[in-house]
Formats: sequence, C-alpha cells, structure tokens
Amino acid sequence: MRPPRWTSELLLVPALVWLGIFFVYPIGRLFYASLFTPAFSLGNYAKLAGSPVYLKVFVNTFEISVTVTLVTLVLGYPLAFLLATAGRRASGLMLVAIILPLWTSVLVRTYAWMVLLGRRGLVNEGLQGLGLTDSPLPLLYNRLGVTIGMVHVLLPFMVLPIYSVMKGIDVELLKAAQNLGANRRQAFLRVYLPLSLSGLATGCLVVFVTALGFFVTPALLGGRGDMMIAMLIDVQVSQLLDWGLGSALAVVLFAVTAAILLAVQRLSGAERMWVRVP
Amino acid sequence: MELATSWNGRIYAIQKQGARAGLEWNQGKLQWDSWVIPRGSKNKDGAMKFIAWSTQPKPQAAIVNEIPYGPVNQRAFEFIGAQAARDMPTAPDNAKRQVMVDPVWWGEHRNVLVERWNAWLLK
Repeated sequence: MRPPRWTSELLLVPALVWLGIFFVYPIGRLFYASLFTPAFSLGNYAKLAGSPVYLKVFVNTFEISVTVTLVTLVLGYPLAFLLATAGRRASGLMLVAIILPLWTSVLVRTYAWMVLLGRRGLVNEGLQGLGLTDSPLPLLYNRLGVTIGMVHVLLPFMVLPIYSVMKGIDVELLKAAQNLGANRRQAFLRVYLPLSLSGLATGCLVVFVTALGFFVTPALLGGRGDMMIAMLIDVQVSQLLDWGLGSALAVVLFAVTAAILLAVQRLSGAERMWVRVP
Repeated sequence: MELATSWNGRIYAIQKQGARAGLEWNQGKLQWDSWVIPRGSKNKDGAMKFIAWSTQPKPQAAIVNEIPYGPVNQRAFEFIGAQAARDMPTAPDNAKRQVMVDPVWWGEHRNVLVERWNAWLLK
C-alpha cells in the first residue's frame, strides 16, 4: 500500500532542517560577509580580480583537481571492475583494503607520504639501493607529491560509486554481446561501459568537488607553486583575520564549482547522472 | 639545501644529532612571546604575581636550561653557563646584530606582505 502523499513529503523535513541550519545559513553568511565586511562594497571582489595571485591559485586548484580526478578514474575503474566480478572472498578482502584507509586521519596519511616520498624516503632509498636511480627523485614538495597524496585519499570515493553500479550489471550481457558477434573490445565499449557510465560520472563528480576544497595534502606535500584556494582562505581567515576577502574567495569557489556541476549535468543528461541505469 | 630560516633552538637540536649546519645571527629577527591578562579576569592578582615571578632572573635562566631560547631579563645571564649564554639570541653580542620585530608594524602591513610573498611564491 502506498503511504498518503503528505507523509512521504514529511520524510524530507529532517534533511531539509539539517541542510538549512548547516549549509544554507552558513553559505548565506559567507555571501553576506564577502559583501558587507566592513560596509557594503564590491571591494573584496575587486581585490580578487585585480591581483594575479588569486587567479593563479584558482587555476592551480582546478588543474590539480582535474589531474587527480583523471588519475583516480584510470586507477579506480579497473579496480571497481575487479571488485564487482571477483569471487565473494576476494572482493570482500579488496573492499576492506579500500575502505580501511578511510578510517585513518588524512593528516596522518599525508605525513606517511612525507616519510615515503622524501629525499631519504623509502621510495628513493629503494630505487637507489636497487641501482635504478643515481640521485633522489623529486617526489615531494611538488605537483607530483600533491597528486600522489590526493589520489590516495580520494581513490575510495571513485571506486565505491562505480562498484555499486557495476554490481548491478549482469555480466552475462557481455557474453550475450559476444554471442551476437561483438569482439571483447566492442562488447566492453558498447555494452559494459555505457551501463557503468552513471557510476563513473558520480565518482568523477565526488572526487573533483572534494579535491577543489583540499587543504592538508597540498599544504604539506606541495611546493611553492602548488597553492590551492583552501590554503589561501585559511591565511585570510586565521592569520590576517580578513573575513571579507576570505569569504569572497569561498563564494567565488562555490560559484565556479556550482557552474561546472550544472554544465556537466546539462551536457551528460540530468537523469543519467544521478539515477542508476537498471 | 644551502640556506634556510629557522628558530635557533631547532638548529641546536639538529647539531646535537650530528647535522652539519651553522647559524648566522646577522639580520636575524628577534621576537618574543607575551603573557596577556584579559580585561576583567577573575584572578588578575594571581596572574600578575605569576608574570612578576616568571620574568625574574632565576626562573628565566631555568627555562634556558630546558630549551635554548633567550631570557627576556638580561640579569638571567648571571645564572647561565658561559657557553649557553653565548648561544642565546638575546646574548648582547648576538642581539646587537639582529633586528627587533615590531608587532605594530607587522599588524598594519601583514596583509600586503602576505600577498606580495604569495605572488613571489607562485611566480
């Protein structure tokens, strides 16, 4: 029996109240602070537009986020496929291995990468010990270090949505396609890939949007050219107490991110993006 | 690495571990921490007594034996060993080669300087 309509709408209330208090209200305060600190003016935004520093940091942030999304996709898609098609025991073990790091603090994991990637870290000592390199490779305090650290943190957020969609795909479909004359590549590209696309899109969005706001990893593993927006906002708010400029930075990041999300959603078809294809 | 800025205590710490690092006081920045009593504090008298005590020569010298940062009270040098005294940032010979950090000036100019610093970093 279907519940009466008003009850199902009532179910939304707790989520809406939560979002209202902890999302809409603070975002509203940010908008307000960016325009009214100290008195109404567009000065904070003019300052952002007038200095090359802020533009460069925005470009950095998007470059790093796109790179990290692509790398996690390349690593995560095959992993999710393996996970979805392996036997129960194997996939259970793999799932634990993927989820376990999520229980460890990002800060601790980032420090662990400093130990591994440093000049005298495990990786460089190992490579030199094996005679593969003569001098330490620059793995830390540059874009490579940031990418490695962020990919490690964000990989589960790519694998899990793809895995959940792949779990619902009947593998027999691949055999059916081959039965109908498709070779293995065609069967994958024309049957499996389109069916898994919704998980792929969700994974990419979650990773990309999360990457945009990253702070700890680029701050610790990055070099002088790898500053991201969150680091700039932190300086404005916690060191300079300039809430106006910090808020303006946050608002611009929010607006650009929302615009990208809407554009992607429109391009790829809104339904396919969020709803699992049966 | 050829050159870096650091708190002097950290250089002493890595020297003890055998690192080949020297220290140059010339144009170093001399700065200090402050005790602050918020207006309307309940226990203001106790706090004032604590500050008066902790800035006396002997307690200042005792801190130096634990961590190698300079005493703010010059009379503390009477209770510090000769070698340790020469290593202090506030030892007269070292202090005169450094610049005093002016908190008021930094308070007024820090935002401009941070932006200039970031622009240089990102070049």
